[in-house]
This record gives sequence, structure tokens and C-alpha cells, in this order.
Amino acid sequence: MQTKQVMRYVLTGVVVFLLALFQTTLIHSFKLFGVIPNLLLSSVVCYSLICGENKAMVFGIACGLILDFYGARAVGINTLLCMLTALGCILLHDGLFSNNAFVAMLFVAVISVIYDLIIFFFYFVLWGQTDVLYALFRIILPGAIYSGLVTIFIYPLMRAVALEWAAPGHVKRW
Amino acid sequence: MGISFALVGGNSSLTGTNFAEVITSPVQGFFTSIGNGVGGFFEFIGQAGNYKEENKVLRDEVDAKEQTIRELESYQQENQRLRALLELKESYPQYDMVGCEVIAKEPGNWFHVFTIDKGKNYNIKKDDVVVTHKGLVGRVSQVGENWAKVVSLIDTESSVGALLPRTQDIAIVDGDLALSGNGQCRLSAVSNTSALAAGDEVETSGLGGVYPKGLLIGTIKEVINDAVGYSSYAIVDTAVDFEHVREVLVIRMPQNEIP
Repeated sequence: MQTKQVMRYVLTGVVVFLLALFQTTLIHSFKLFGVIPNLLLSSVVCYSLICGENKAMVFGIACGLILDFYGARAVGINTLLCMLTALGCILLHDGLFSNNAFVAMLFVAVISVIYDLIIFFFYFVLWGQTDVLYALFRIILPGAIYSGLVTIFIYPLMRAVALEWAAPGHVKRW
Repeated sequence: MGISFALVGGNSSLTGTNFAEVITSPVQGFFTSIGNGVGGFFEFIGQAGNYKEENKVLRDEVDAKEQTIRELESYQQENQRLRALLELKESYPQYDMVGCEVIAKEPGNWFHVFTIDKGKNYNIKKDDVVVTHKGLVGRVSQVGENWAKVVSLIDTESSVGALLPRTQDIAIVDGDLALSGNGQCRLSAVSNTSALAAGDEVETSGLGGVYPKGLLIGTIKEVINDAVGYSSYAIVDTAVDFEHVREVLVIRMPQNEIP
């Protein structure tokens, strides 16, 4: 393996580590309407859209594991969801006519809604907490919008990390 | 004319000077004041460079002093919190407590769990109770070598046996998704004959063996009766502000010791 490629993996690891640190500490100071954005999910979507390879699956699993380790409940669901997110984005990668920050923002917002609906179902609805309107309007939708908005910062970061692995001409500047 | 004659009538040279002064002094005063003003202006223009530099130095000094004041205020607040925790520790000599700092929070929006900076290395065990000087925070759910996760009172996984000191009613305080966003939880399993009222304090009952008796949970904000009137529940404002918990005390419960 070339040194340059090793450095690329190390850089990816460092970026994920920093995002995880930010997600569990400082991001709580930037709460908007009582919610925080999911930076790791956003990075999985951006990375997968840019990279479009199996590396994105590994990236998704790594980010999901981090969310699970730092999270409150049993390890597994975030890993699975992040992996599926990466897989979905890889499949869409070739079909997208345009791959830029705004497409990524839209993807993050939509995937965030689906992701949180699944979390809500498994951790709340199945246990008798069925306050769907509260979950939807106070957590899921604000969280999805916020995650979508911060993607404007995550996309260039992931682009810097994963561009080397992107198909030539597939990723536009913005 | 009268004045002129009077002036001429006395010492002539002195009178002439006096006359000139009388006439010119107000005008001189006026012009001198203008001159002083203009002179001051030109002096200011001449030294403008120095003032600019001095101004920058003073601004820097003010910024540094403001920064110091902010730091001192932060230390003062920390000192107050730590002092309150120390007082709490001293007021419960029967408990073995250890002070911890909150180092991380849950990465999502659904759960109210945080991580503290001590774990097995300080003999912290699963189900040890976590408090601040204001009241109950929650319990330890996972322990690592130098970290532990704490499930907050408002998390939906939390359930605490409660006592209302005024009415001596026994109830259960549960975390509720819709209430947790406001730092509130739900008090349920209350008898319909109970005379709950807003403002009643809620404490831990000690039943169940996880939480010791007498720790403040919060105060009742609102009592809600169901449509039929058979049961009621209450919304409890927790004593602890979960958004700003920084230092906590972990009560190392003896029953959690590994035999």
C-alpha cells in the first residue's frame, strides 16, 4: 500500500475521530430548537455520495459503531443504519446526474428523517411511548433540517478526504 | 461721556490703560478662548498618531481585564458549585461519595445519557446513584475503566420510586419523551384519593433498593386527572437542570459492591 494511501486512511480516521468528539461535546452548545444535528450521519452520506465505493460501507460502519459506543442503548442499531445509509448512497452514486453540496444536504435531511423514524419505532413505539406528533415535530423534523443545514460544512470536509477515491468528473465543486 | 470724563479726571496714564483694558479685555478673552481651542485642536492633530497608539494599548488592556473578569466569574461559579457539592457530601456522611465531572453527552436527540470522568478506577459500579447539590440526577448504567455512563432521571429508561413528604403518598417517577425536552418527568401510580397539589416536593422513597431515601427529585408542576377520574398523574419539574450539569457526586452504594 502506498504511503499516500495510508496517509489518506489516517486522515479519514482523524476526521471521524474529531467529528465524534464534536458530536458528543461541543455540539450540545449549538442546540437549535432543542435539537442537535447528526454530524456523523451527515459525513456518512457525504462520503458515500462522493466516494461511491465499498470504502464508504466501512466508513458507515465505523461511524455507526462510534454512535453506538457513545450512545445510550445497545450497540448495533446505529451501525446497521449507518451501513444501510452508506449502501443506499453508493447505489445512488452512479445514478445521480449531479453530486454537490446541495444534493448532499437534501439527502442528509431525507435520510435523517427515515433514520430517526426507525430509532423512534424501535426504542419508543415498541415500548409503549407513542407520542408520534411530539417525536415528529420536536425531534425528527428539526433534527433533519439542522443536519441538512450543517452538511454545507461537512460536504467540503468529506470532499477533501474522499475526493481521491471519487470517479473522475463525478463530483462538482459545489 | 460721563465715564470718559471721570476716567480723564484722575491719573491720566493709568486711566488710559484702564480704559483700553476695559474696552479690549472681553474681546481678548473671546479671542484667547478661540485660540486655546484652535491650539488644542492643532495639538490634537499633531499628536493623533500617539493617541491612536495609546488608544490601542488601552483597548488591549480593557480586553485583557474583561477576559480576566470572565475567567474569575467562571471560577466563582465553579467554586460555588463545588462548595455546594462539598456541603452535600458533608450532609450525608453515611454515604460514600466521589465527585465526578461530565465529559460527554449522548450524540443524538432521543436519550438523556451522559458520560462522567471516573469509572472502575474509582470503584464506581453499575446502578450507583448520581446526585448534585440540587437533587437526584440519575444512576450509573455502564462502567468503564475511567468512565461511566449515567442515565438521567428524565430519560425514558429511568424509573424511580418516589415519596411525597406532604401527603406521604408513594408513587413512581418515570422519564417521558414529550416531557424530557423541558427537563420534566411524569409522576404516576398515584392513588386517586391522593391530594396532590402543584408545588409539592417529590423525593426518592428508598423503595426498590436502587436509590437511597430522601433525595430531592423535584416539585409537582401540574396534576392531571384522567377523564373518568379513576387515576391521575403529575408533571414534575426536576430539581436539577440537566442541560447544564457539569459536576456530580456518585454515591457508591454498598449493595452494588461485588461480593
